[in-house]
Amino acid sequence: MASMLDRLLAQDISDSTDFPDDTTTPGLRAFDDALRCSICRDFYDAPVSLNCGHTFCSACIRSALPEQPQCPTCRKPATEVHLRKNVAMESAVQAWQAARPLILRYAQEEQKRKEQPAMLPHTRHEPNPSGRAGRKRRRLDSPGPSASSDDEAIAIPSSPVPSGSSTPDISPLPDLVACPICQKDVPSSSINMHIDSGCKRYLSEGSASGAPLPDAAKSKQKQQWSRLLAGSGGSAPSKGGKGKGKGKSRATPDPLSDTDAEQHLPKVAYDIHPQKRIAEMLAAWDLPAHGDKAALARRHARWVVLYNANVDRAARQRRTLEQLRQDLRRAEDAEGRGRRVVVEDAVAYQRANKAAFARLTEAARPKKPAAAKAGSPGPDGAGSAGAEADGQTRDGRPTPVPEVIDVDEG
Amino acid sequence: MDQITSSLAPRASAKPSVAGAGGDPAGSVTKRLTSELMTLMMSTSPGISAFPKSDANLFDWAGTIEGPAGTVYAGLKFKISINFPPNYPMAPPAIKFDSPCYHPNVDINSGGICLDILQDKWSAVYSVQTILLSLQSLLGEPNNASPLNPDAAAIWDSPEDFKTQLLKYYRPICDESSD
Repeated sequence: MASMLDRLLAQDISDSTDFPDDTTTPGLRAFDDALRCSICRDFYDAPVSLNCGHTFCSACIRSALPEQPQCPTCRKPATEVHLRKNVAMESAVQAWQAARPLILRYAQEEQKRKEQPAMLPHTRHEPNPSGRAGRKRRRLDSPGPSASSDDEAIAIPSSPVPSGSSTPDISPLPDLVACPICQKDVPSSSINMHIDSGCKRYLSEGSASGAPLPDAAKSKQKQQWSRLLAGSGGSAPSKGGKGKGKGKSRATPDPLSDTDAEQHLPKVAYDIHPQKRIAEMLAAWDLPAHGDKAALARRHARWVVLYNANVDRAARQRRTLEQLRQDLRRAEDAEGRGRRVVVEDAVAYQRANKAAFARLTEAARPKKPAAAKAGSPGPDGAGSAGAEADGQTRDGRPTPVPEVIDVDEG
Repeated sequence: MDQITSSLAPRASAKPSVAGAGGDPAGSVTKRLTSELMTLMMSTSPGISAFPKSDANLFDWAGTIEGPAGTVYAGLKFKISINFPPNYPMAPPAIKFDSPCYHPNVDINSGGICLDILQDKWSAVYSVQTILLSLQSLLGEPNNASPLNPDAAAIWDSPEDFKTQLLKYYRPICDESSD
């Protein structure tokens, strides 16, 4: 049991309880939680919203709706046509994922300080750590070292790096957006704070002077803005870009808009198609066609979910078809693994669990000795599960008892 | 089993700091189950606990539920088993009582449970924690309209008799210490 715990902790699965509770860092835990899908418990990946306003990862809700055509949270009837991209949530998640390691470190420092009130005097006079975190992040986010020459703009204050801080490994956020009011470039994560400050603060270092940007970057920003402002404009972001009242109207079409026009794949009624037809559908996407009809249908349905979820991602977040194929392969592998008990070192495992085996054997014997013998899967259970269990694992639900007894005997 | 219960105690800074996205070789089901396990361990829901039965299989859990205070089940502890399907959380886990539980909505022999959220009212946002809490409240507030155990449903209104029957079937779970 203890080793299971260690393994889980080593897996780097983050959740909102990483943060201290509300008495130490008010709101942080809830904030982290608010950016997570309630189906997969991870940060939103290609977030989409239903009519009721509840948001899920695109892949999560597209997997859940075929089971039950309703919102998983509030049970309001829902179908896939109701799904709308939630681009604001997507950018919020991206920004938070970039900021999180640093914020987490400061939060934990804060917790430590509160736990030990008797500290060195100078640490008490340090400014509020969350404020420092914000400034530092901006410094890290800024793409270039060139200094601002704009007078009215308070660019990045060159505050000394807090003592004892090893610079965390945060990749700089590449996404700058042009402020709709002052037209200056601002990290998209800080745009709201920038506007709130009357366009005076939170400017990005390199571009505060209004140096003209390359066309591509500019139109990309425009596209980002059009997406933010268009809200649920699902399929045609290039259309939203025009007539937004920007100073210079640039007609350069964005190269990304071509791929952005990708359509969702339609769902397939597999029951009315012969196996051969489903195999052809898989082949059209270069997907493997092994397995029986049910396996093929499952594979294709999963592909449609992955593909459609990918369409719901922002264009620059999209994965390539080859990556999607890998995702599909991984998902199928993981499903196989989940059913199967992988025991790497059978002898050690047997020794470690001897007591449990003995108890299970005792518990099973008086009831049905014959069934236990007949049900034992032969050499399968004794450590070679990885090699042989492929076929039996998908549907059959091997009860642990016979298998464990088998290990005990062998 | 003591170990499982003690894992409910709040752990001060037991978790290492976790960085954002690590590589994810595990499937999303494994990830979700791991996350649920974390939540259960870090939260302090009184009277419920759950943990994987063995180190090797994250899809098979054992849990305990304490009877809610102020009901006939107060002070009693029940063992349950939780089996997750490969498409969890799109489909509900299979849950049954391992200790005999005399209750209108629990089959006294098989341990099967009649609870709507475990069947057609399942939702992908439910978790082990919400299930265990629902079961805990089901103990005190049975649905006598659709009983799995008609005898229990019949005498629910006379707590004295019910308690007698309950204790007749009840087996304390502390005899299994190796789990």
